[in-house]
This record gives sequence, structure tokens and C-alpha cells, in this order.
Amino acid sequence: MKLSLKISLITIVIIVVFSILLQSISIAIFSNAIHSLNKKLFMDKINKLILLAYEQDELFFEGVYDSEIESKLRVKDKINIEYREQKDPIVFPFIIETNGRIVAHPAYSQWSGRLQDKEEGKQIFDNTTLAFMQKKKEGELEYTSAGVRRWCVFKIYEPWNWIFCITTTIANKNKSINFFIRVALFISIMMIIGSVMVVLFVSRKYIRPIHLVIERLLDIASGKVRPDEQIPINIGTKDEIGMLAYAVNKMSEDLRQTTVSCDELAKEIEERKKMENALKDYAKKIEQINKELDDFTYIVSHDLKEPLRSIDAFSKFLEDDYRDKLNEEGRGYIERIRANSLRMQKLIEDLLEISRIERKRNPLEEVRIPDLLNEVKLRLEYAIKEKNVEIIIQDNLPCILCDRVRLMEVFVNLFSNAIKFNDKPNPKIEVGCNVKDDYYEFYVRDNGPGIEEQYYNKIFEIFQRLGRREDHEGTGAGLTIVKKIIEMHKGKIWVESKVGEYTTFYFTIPKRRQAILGKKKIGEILLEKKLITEEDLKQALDAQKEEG
Amino acid sequence: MAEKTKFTKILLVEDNPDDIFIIERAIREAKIINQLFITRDGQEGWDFLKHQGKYSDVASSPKPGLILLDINLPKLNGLELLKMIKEDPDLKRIPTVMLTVSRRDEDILKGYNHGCNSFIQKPVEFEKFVETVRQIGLYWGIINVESPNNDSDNDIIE
Repeated sequence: MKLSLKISLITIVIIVVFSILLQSISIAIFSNAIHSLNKKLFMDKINKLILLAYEQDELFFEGVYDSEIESKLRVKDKINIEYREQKDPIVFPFIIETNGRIVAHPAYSQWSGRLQDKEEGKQIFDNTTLAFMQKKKEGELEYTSAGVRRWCVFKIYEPWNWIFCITTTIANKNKSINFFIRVALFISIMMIIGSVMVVLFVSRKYIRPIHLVIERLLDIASGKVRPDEQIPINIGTKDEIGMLAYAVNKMSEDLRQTTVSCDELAKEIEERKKMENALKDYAKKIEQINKELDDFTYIVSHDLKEPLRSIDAFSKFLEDDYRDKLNEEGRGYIERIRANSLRMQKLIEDLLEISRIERKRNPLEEVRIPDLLNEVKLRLEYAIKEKNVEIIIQDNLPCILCDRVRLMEVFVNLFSNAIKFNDKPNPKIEVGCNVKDDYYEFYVRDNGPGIEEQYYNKIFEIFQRLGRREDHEGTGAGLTIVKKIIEMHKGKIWVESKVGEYTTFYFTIPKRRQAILGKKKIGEILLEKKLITEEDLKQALDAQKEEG
Repeated sequence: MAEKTKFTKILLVEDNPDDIFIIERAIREAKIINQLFITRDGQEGWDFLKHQGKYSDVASSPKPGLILLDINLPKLNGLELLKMIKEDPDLKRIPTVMLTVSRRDEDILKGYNHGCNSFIQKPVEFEKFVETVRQIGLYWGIINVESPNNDSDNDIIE
């Protein structure tokens, strides 16, 4: 059952009960009042009649009338006249004697001038009633006469033993009461109808918003929370229902936002999964390539070394066994064969070394650069002393995360190059580090011959040499190895130089472990996928910095 | 040193004739007193050890004191032959040295897993090769104490 109906019914029942209660009480009070009023009215009339009788009785005593009968007749006449003048025949007076004999009554005598008793022996009241009247002297009573219920007020005039009565029908007496009851009933019904209408109107006004709230809640429950359906419920009041509507609005708005952000999140997760899968595929591919490279270098090393060993061995045998049978030129050729086989061996070793850098990664560790540089100096001690090289190492070099063995190779290679190619009488090597936001920038500067700009990139290519072969030993793989190691650390390497004055090798090593391991920052990934602009990223990073 | 070197029977399993020549010469230059038996592939090596096929004459194919085994061999490769040797109750105590140009971890690991006693990379330079062979001879011929029941395996085991 609907709430509005329930409220209406309850209200109607309450109103009906109250109006019945009110009506009965008011009817009781009113009828009682009417009754008293009637009684008083009738009694007044009787008193007038009794006063009349008394006056006539006085006149008799004063001697105006000859007999008592005459005064009685006068009273009778007066009443007769009064009755005749009376317009309302329903109310009339009559007189009986205390013994029940009728003195004057319109139904039994015509109020004639004479005191005649036409209806001798007839009684209006029975003896019990007469006894009651005599005892009471004055009062009221109900009785039946000629089949009609009647009501009368009576008073005894004792000197004559007359009972004066004024009578009317019960129906007449109750006429005004019935009218009042009818009016009251009408008013009650009107009140009930009016109140029902008011209740219906009010409950509609208050229950309709509840219906709206219910509908919205059902919508939310069935998952119909969509941005286009977000018209907030407008109640316009600040009562409990208004608060309820406000709460539901807020809830559905929150829910909508949550739903929207959920959708976005799901999308993002999907994107990321795709990205991850792509990365996985890529990693697999790389692994495959590495494996192939591994096999390749293995085959190369095995297959190239096999004939090389024979070349070396047999040229050695030739040199040992046939030295005497060969002339100077022949021995020169053999020497060249042996020198080249040695060189080829070195090239193969370097090749293997380069391929090994990527394949075999040592775990990253915290390395104190000053300690590392001391070790480098020890390893190159002979060369440093021989050429009297001055090595200047910047103070407070950092402690960084790196592959210790490989980074040592970097410094050894750069140092030995700086020493090897130096043409100055007082060779000098300077090492330092600039600490940047995300990375360390190291430099190794020498006062050697310098490198022409056109060769800046070429020097890092494998087996590239700038000097003549006979001038400097080495295969030309050193810088390639260095570059490879720096790239393995996800750093960069470049060279700055002025011919005849100096050469500076710069290289960077990221600070973060994740960066060294090649894992991108989330910002970079988003940027790559064009989910954000560079400006967004910059702003976000600035905001982050401000937060500390 | 030469005087102290014991007489050692060495079985070389090697397919490359150049390498055979080089090893022979290296052994000679290292002055290891020995008797070198040469087989050209894995199967031949196995036949020699088990006195099968053309090596059915036990006198011409004696049990060696050292096996030098190349990894890349035709028919039966070095690692397979090594596995068979080390699983054979008669042969498993013979010191087996793998000779290889490879430094592939995978091969080295497999070699040790199959029970090889040493893993040696063939040096490219002949001088180093001679030195290596000298070391092998020194170690397996003199320093290393042989298994006491080398010739009477079965008695003890069974």
C-alpha cells in the first residue's frame, strides 16, 4: 500500500473518531441546554398562570367575587383567551385537580366560561403519576396521551389543589435539537472531506520527492548511473526530505565520478597491459637475438681460431725448422705472417669481449670512484711512470651505482689512450665529475694531440684507428668497448677536443638503479604513448619538486 | 723435470689433423715421455677404449692414463663421449681433459657435469700451447695421484 494512502486513511479515521466524539459531546450539551431552556420557558408560563390564580384568589378574599368558583372561572377564562390567541397549538396549558379530575384541557373542554365537567371521570394521568406530582409539587414528566408521547411541566397551586401544566409533544420539544444534530453532522462530513483533501495534497507534496529519491536509488542500483542522466533531484526544501534528496544527489554524483574514473582506470590498465605485452615480446625478441649473437660469436671464435692456431703453429715450425734455409726476405715474410696472426688473435679477442659486455652483466654495486681510480692508476703504473704522466683527480668524487669491473675498463681504456697517444713532454690527465639531477657526468681530459671534429664519432667505431698502425699498438677496439659499457649503463659518451691542445671524453651514468637497468620512468612511457604532452610532464615534475 | 716425468699413455681424440700435428709436436717440445694414441672421432675413441672394431687387439689399444678430448668431433661429439666414459665402470677413473677453443659457459658447465677432470682452452699461440701441454703432463703425470685400483676395478667394485 502506498504511503500517501496509508497516511490519508489514518488521518481520516482520526478525524472521523474525533468529530463523532465532538459531536456527541456537543449534542449532549446542546440538548441539555435546550431542555433546560424549554423547562424554564414553560415554568415561567406556569408561574404566570399561578400568579393569575393567586390574584383572582385575593380578589375573592377581598370580597370582589362572591364565591371561590368565580375566581376559578376567571382564571379559566384568562387561560382560554390566552390559548385562543396562541398561534402554536402544539404547546398548550391545561389544568387538573390533584385527584386527577380535569379542570381545563382543550381536548376535553372548550375553555368555556363555565366550569363544566363534560368529560367527567376521564383522567390524563394515572394515580402513580398524580402521587408523584403531589409529592414533587412542581417539575416535569413525560407521558402518553392519545397515543402520542408528550412532555409537560407542572406546578401545584395548593390553595385550590389545582395542577397547572404546560405540555407539548416530545417531537416538538426535540425539533431544534434534531436540527442542530443535522447541522453538526453536515459540518462533520464537510470537515472530513476537507481534511482528506488536505491530507492527500500534503502527503502528495511530501511523498512525491520520496518517490523521486526511490526512483533515483533504483536507477543507481540497476547501474544506470551515466553522466547524461545526472539531473539532480530538486526538492526545494531544507527539511529531512530535502536533506535526503541532497544526500542522494551527492551520492549519485560521487558514484558517477567513481564510475567514470573506474572506466578510465580500466582503459589505462588495458593500455598498460598492451604495452607490457609489447615489451615482453620485445624482450623475448632481444633474448632471441642475444642467443643468436651468442651462437654467432661462439662459431666465429671457434672457427676463426682453429685456422689461426694452425697458421701460428706452422709459421712457428717454419721459423724454427727452416730458419737457416731461408734468406732474410723469407724470414721477414714469416715474421709478418706471425705478427698478423697475433694481431688477428687480438681482434678476435676484442670482438668476443665486445659481444660479452652485453651478454654478461655483473650485478650493480656501490662503487667509490676515488678507490676505483686508485686501482686504475695501479694497473697502469708502469706506463704512467714511463711517460711521467701527471694525474689530477678532482676531490670528493662520488660513490656511484655501477658495474665495477666494467667501469674500471672504461677508465683504464681512457687513461691508456690518453697516455699512449700523448705527444707532450709533460703529459697530464684530469678526471672529474659534474653531478646533475638524474645522472653523473664524468670527464677524462688529456693534453694530448687532440682529435679533429670529423672523427668525433668515428673513434667509437670498432677497429677504427686514427694513428698509423706501426705508431701505436692496439686493435682500435678500446673506445668501442668503452662506449658499449657506458651504453650498457644507459649513459652517453661524447668527445670534445681542440687539435694540438686537449681531448676530453665525457660520459654519463644515471643515478637511479631503474634507469641503469633501462626501466623507463612512468612519465617517459606516457610521453611516448602521447597520453600527455611534454608541458604536462614538466609541470607535474615541477609540482613534485615543490612538494619536496 | 724430464727425468721425473712418468711414462704416460695418452689417448688423444681429435679430428683436426693440424691440431694433431701441433699437439704431437707440443708434447715433444714439452719433453713429456709418453706414448700417444690418436683417434680421429668420438666413435673411434670409444672403440679404442672398449677394444672394439679395429682396436679389438688389446695389446695395441692399452688402457690410457690420460684422455685428451676435443669437444667438436664428428659422429660422437666430445661431450657425449665424455658422458659415456664417465658412466662406464671400467673407464670412469681415467683422468679426462677437455680441449676446446670455446669459452662458452654452457659447454664448460656440461663438461664438468659429465665428470670431466679438467677443462682447457687451446691457446692460439704455439708457445703457449707447448706450455699448456707441459702443464698437463706435469699435473696428470707427476703431481696427480692416480686411483690405486686403476687396473683392478672390477675386483674391488664387484
